[in-house]
Amino acid sequence: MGERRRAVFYEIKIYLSTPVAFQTKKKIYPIHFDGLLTALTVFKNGVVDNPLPQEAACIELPLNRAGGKKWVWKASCMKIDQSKSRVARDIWTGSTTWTDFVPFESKLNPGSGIYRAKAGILMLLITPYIKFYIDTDNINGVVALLNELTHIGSRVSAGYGEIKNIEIRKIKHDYSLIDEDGYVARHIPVSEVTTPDPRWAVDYAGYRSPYYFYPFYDMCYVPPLERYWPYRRPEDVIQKLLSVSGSKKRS
Amino acid sequence: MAVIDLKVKDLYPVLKPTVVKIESEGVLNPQTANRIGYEFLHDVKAVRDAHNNKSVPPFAIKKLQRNSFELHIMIPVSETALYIHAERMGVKIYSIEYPKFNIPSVYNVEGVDIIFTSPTSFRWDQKHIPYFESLLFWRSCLKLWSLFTGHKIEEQDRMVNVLAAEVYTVFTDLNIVRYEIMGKKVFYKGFKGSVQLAFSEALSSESKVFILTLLHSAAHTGVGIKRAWGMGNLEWQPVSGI
Repeated sequence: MGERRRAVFYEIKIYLSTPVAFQTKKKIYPIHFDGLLTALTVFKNGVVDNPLPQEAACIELPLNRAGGKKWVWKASCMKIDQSKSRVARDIWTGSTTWTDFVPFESKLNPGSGIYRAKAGILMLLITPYIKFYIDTDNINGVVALLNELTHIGSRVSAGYGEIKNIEIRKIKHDYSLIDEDGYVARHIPVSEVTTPDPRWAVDYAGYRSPYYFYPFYDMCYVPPLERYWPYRRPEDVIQKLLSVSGSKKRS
Repeated sequence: MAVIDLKVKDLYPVLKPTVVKIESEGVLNPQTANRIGYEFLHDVKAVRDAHNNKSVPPFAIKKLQRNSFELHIMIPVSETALYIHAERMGVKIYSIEYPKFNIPSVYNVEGVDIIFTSPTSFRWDQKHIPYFESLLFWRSCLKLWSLFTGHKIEEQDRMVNVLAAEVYTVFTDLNIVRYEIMGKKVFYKGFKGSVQLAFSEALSSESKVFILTLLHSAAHTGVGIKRAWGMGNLEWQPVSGI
């Protein structure tokens, strides 16, 4: 048994100068901080493209872990400020070399090859900053990787998701797994949690980076949409009435 | 092996009842079960006061059968005292349980099925209403939960109105029956059967948890009138895909 570590938690605030783009072909999942660090690690180690699936399990990150067999990095997914964020839709276009005249015999594949889609729709998250929460013993390692971060999200080559500045500050509480409001702050496998909160939603999602790697998919507790996407919840009168009685009780 | 202990706290106070399963060689009826309940708890001042003032007794009779019933007690009691009273009364305590309530995940819960297993009736304007009425049902649930958990709700009437509007009845299958509590002379009419309630789409997860907490409480306290005589028993379960 090693020495008991003094927990150190950080809030990482990434200021953006351009909107973050999300592909609309798939369901929108929030960007996880460990996903960002994984991409930065493989780029730093000289791998041009995404890591091969066979190598995925070996990517070490300067973050602490939590859990058993299906452990997760103690790093939250992105959190936005609802009051300062909005969504826009944009289109993207690819090469102008249209190949409509090329004869084909088999099924069209819009993902790659000569029939790859040349235009599509993007969802743009227009927000001044996004926040992440992490638990790490090696903040210098995190900073070294973040120094290489210039853009986040999709279509970065078109200028989306450009980073203006990154602020890192120590915080007292650990919000890397659960946020202040009691909801999960990242994807956590259902099988890893002993006492879940009944409010948490469940979805089939990736629980560890790289998030395209299907062996790391399982039924997970997932954060609410309003954590990472501009969304106004329907007005809830019951909660309003309960909060009134709660506030009077406290005063 | 699950290893992440996230220390989730209850959002709202949860009723923590004591369930005493009692067996008797003699034939039981609502009157004898009620008497056993009061005798078991007559050491407790709150129970004596409730009896003398005809206020809400902190116990309910459930699953009353010919030779057995369950006594659900909503205040802390001594097990030793219960066993002593059981011996004195000539009945046997089969078990004493402290059921724990784990609220199920509400993300796909769209409503609840409620089965009224014993005749249920509500009091309204000095009269008894022997049929299911959403407003009266929620009023009873809220009042008893608030009373036994000590969680005060300021605008209780308004909360009842909102609950009745946000959780609406989609299906009922009820029969109105006669429930004799003291021989054939003293009886009440009440309804038995099942009700399906659906949550409004605008209901938040927090509110769903609150509603399930109320129903958990109601399953122990009962609802409506004469809960300490075996009326107002209910069972419930969350449903999805309504």
